Amino acid sequence: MNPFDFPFLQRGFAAVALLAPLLGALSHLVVARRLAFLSTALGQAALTGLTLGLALGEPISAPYGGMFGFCLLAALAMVWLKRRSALPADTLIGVFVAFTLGLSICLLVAVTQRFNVHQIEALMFGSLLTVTAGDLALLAALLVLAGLFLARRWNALLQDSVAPATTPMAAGERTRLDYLFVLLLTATIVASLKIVGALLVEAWVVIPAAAARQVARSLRQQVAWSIALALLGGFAGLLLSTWFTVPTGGAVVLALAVLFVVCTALGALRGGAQRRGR
Amino acid sequence: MSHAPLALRAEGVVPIGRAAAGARPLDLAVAAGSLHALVGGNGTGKSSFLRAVCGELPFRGTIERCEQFGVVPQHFAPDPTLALTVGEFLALSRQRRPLLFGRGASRARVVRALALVDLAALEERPLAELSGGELRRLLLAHACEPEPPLLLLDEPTEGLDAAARERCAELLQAARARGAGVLLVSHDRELVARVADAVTELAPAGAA
Repeated sequence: MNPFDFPFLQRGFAAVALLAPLLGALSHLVVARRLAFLSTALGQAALTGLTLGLALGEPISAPYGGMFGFCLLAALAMVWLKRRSALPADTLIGVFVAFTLGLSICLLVAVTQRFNVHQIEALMFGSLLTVTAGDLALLAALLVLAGLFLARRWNALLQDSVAPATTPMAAGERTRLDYLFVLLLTATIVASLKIVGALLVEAWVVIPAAAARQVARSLRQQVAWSIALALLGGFAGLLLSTWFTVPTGGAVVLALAVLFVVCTALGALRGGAQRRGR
Repeated sequence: MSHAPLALRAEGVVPIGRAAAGARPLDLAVAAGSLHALVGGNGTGKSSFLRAVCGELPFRGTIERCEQFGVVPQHFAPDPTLALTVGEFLALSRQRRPLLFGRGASRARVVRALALVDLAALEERPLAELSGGELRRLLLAHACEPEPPLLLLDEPTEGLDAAARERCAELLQAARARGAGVLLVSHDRELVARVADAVTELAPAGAA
């Protein structure tokens, strides 16, 4: 079977081609800014927002209002609390994940009485069948906006991650940067949900950069590897999901996990060779 | 009485976290072209005060300072898995073009900053491979270039050898001579005696 013969698969590959460069680039900053757990919490919040939106009457074909609205509120609340609380960030996020998980489980029971459970599964674990031409236009617009933002603020975001104490910024600038980055991350996570699903999206935001760090030797290589791995994992996941008829999200995450293991092994081999060479 | 403009003025400042520990409000002024040292034993709140001035810690009281400043923080531990070189670290805040598209116009400024602390040979070295003393020198270079009107330095000579300490003292004197205000937190009494125009000694929180 040639996957490109089917329009829904063509749309799926186009979605990955638009999304993966953004996810790969963001992944580098997410890992540098230690936001992996926050990304997990945002994926979880997207599921809660999805069920909340459906419970309030949103159509299952376009449940973006609840997802984006709740995710946005969750992201802003987590950053606001993180900046003010004396508790460690991971503790706060852990409390938040527990709350949203409890809420989404309660709402899921209510929602699955009204919708076919497979329709809900598609949004939880991702499905190619749900990607529309409108979704592709949304992804393209997001890619352009994110590209413009990152081109202007990449250095500041990285500097603030590496050594915030050495980075004097105008009053409010660091706060603005923090909120804007999390806002972009939220929009990207919500936009990724149709492909990879609410419960698995965090893997696509974290694994590419984590794997890239195992093999890349320079900053530029780390970003390039991160983008390449996000693309490779996305395409491989789509093909696996087509051949084995499994949820796209699970297949993408498995492909990314395999890439992480391969990169880690390559990094270890090279490290060993360098030590022997000294 | 000095009529030099102030680079930093603090009135009744208590970092929020230290209020409960019984810290007393601190008044302090650093004139342009002067070096003010903050000394005292462990736990007296020197670093907390400096972090409040930097905007890193919430505080009660009033702080007025120049918007542009250079800072050497007390702690800095680079992420060992982030492939960032010494030159790239300095370039991050010295060029607008995203660093992943390469270093352009910032190169001359990076070289100049590294030359200040005799680290030019380490420009391509990964940040995580620097020793503690080399990191302090790098942070000092980062703070001193491009000659901000205010320097906030927390133990800049910690872990430095004799030659590097001498270079640090020269840089502080040069900053003062060009009109910068310098706030120096240090346990290095020899350095303080040599370069400071004024010294404030902090007592332990709760002491009479």
